Amino acid sequence: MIRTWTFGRKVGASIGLLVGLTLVIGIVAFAALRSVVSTKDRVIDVDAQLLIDAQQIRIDAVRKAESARGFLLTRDERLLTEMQDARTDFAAAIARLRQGATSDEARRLLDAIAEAEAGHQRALDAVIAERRTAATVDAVARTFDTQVLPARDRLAAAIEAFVVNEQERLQAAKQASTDRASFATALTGVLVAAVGACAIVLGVLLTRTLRRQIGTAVGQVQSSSAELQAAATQQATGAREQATAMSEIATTISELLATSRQITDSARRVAQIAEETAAAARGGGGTVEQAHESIAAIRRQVDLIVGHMLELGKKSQQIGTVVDIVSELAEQTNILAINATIEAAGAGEAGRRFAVVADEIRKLADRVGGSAKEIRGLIDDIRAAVNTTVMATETGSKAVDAGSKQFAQVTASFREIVGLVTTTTEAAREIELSIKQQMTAVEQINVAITNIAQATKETEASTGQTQQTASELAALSRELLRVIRPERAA
Amino acid sequence: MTPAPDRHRAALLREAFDRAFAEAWSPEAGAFEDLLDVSVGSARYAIRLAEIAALAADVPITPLPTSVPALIGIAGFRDEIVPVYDLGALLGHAAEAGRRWLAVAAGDTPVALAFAALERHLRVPAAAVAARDPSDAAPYIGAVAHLEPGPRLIVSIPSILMAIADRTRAASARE
Repeated sequence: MIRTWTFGRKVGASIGLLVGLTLVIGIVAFAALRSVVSTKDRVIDVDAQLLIDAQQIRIDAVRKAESARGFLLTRDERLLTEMQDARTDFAAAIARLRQGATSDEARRLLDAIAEAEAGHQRALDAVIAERRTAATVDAVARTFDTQVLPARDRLAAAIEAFVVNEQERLQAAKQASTDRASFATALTGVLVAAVGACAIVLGVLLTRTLRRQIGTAVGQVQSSSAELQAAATQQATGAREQATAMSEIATTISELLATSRQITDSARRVAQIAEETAAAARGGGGTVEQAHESIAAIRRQVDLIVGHMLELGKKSQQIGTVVDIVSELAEQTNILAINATIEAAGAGEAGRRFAVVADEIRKLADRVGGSAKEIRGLIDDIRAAVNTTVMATETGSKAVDAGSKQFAQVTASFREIVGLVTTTTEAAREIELSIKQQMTAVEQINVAITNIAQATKETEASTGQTQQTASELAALSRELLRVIRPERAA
Repeated sequence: MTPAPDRHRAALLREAFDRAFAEAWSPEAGAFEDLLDVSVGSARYAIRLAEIAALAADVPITPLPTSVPALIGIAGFRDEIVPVYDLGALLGHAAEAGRRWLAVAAGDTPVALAFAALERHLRVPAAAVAARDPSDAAPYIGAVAHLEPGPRLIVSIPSILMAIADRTRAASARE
């Protein structure tokens, strides 16, 4: 499970473990120190104080003996008072020693001291009482020597015994305290050694883990930095290409803007021309309407001409009928004249004059016949001309009809042209408006492209920084690898 | 409005008409010869006016069953029944329709010759008429009139009447 821990978790656990051990060491050291301090305090506060108090009762005993000796020598009452004060201090010290005594031996020795002091006092009281009498100094000195000195020696011995006892106890307490401090020191040293060993083990383990994990990470960082460098290089190339493309796009957009302005001007001109064309088309429509009316009038005149021509044809036909009659009459007259000539020739001399008349009649009939033929020819020419004229007029009438229809179509076309031109005008205006909107959009695009170009340049610059960072990262990873695995870094 | 040339032409006609009354009655006999210019088939012939007794047009012709090729029927003319012969067939032309003119031959034998068209009446000087060329094998041509623009054959009606009479007599003899 530990293998799955992160390096930070392992470091944290190791530090936690070391901190725990350190706390244990601290607690143990604190407890040992407190024990040593307590022991020392006991030695100082109890045993040393007992020894001091023991020395104090020795001093008080000496001071009481010296005060009593001085009284004995001088009979000064103040010395007795001092002796009494010394005895009071002695009693107080004994009382303190009793309170501080912790053993029965000490209490027994204190009882012995108190008893020796009481005997000493009694001896002193006897000598003092003797001094106040008229006894001599020598007698007093002998009494003193015989009674007080032994009591004083016993007291001194009792005190010495107590002091020796307390000194022994103090020495024992000091030794015990020293032993406890040594034990605490040894225990603390053992624990420190254990913590140090644990720290070394953890350090080794963490170092191995660090080598393994950081080595892998460094390898990945090296690979990633190489990839990052390659990607940064590629990105730099792409950024340069993008910058070039952006520049071309900006140029193209500038051209597009110029083209859009030209298109706007063209659309405006188209709209203006379309309006003029619409006006011209409306004028043309009016002109065509007038021409259509004129053609209708021409059509009516042509119809009248056709009617007159047909009437002329009928009249010429009637003339032809009459001419046929005239021709028939001329032919018959000619026949009669010829027959008359024949008859006149058969009549001989008498018929000569008649033959002349008949010949004149025949000539006249010939001329009439010739004139009738000419009239017939003229009538035929007239009829042919009438027919030609009628046909031409009908052709013209058809042409007029076709022209009228064409004019109607032209009028409709003009109306349609007006409609289309109006639509064209609206479309041109819409185009102009759209182009203006497009120009606004293109200008916005141009601004955006400029921003993109700027961003591309910044990207190119940051790509350079990225390349530098990747290089530095690669160098750092090599350095880190050299730190954790020198053999591989080499 | 009549054009000026026509007015001049009318004046010329009036003048010619008036002059006819101013001139003498007739020139000398034999100085001129009256001819009828006729169309037969595609050819033009002349018929002496002196060789016919009458001229008629559009006379109804009743077809007659006959073995004579040129005889096309009979017609009533001046209260007489006359046989009608096709002049073109007699002159060797192909039969044609529309023969509306009849020329009744002069003589004792009433015979009518049918032809298509009467073009005009001709009065030519006698010197312009000459005998026919003997080497010419055309039948029933008696003389030639030299006219402008070319000569015109003159049909000899007496020779036709003679041939008809000969054929009639031959037929009567066979009967």
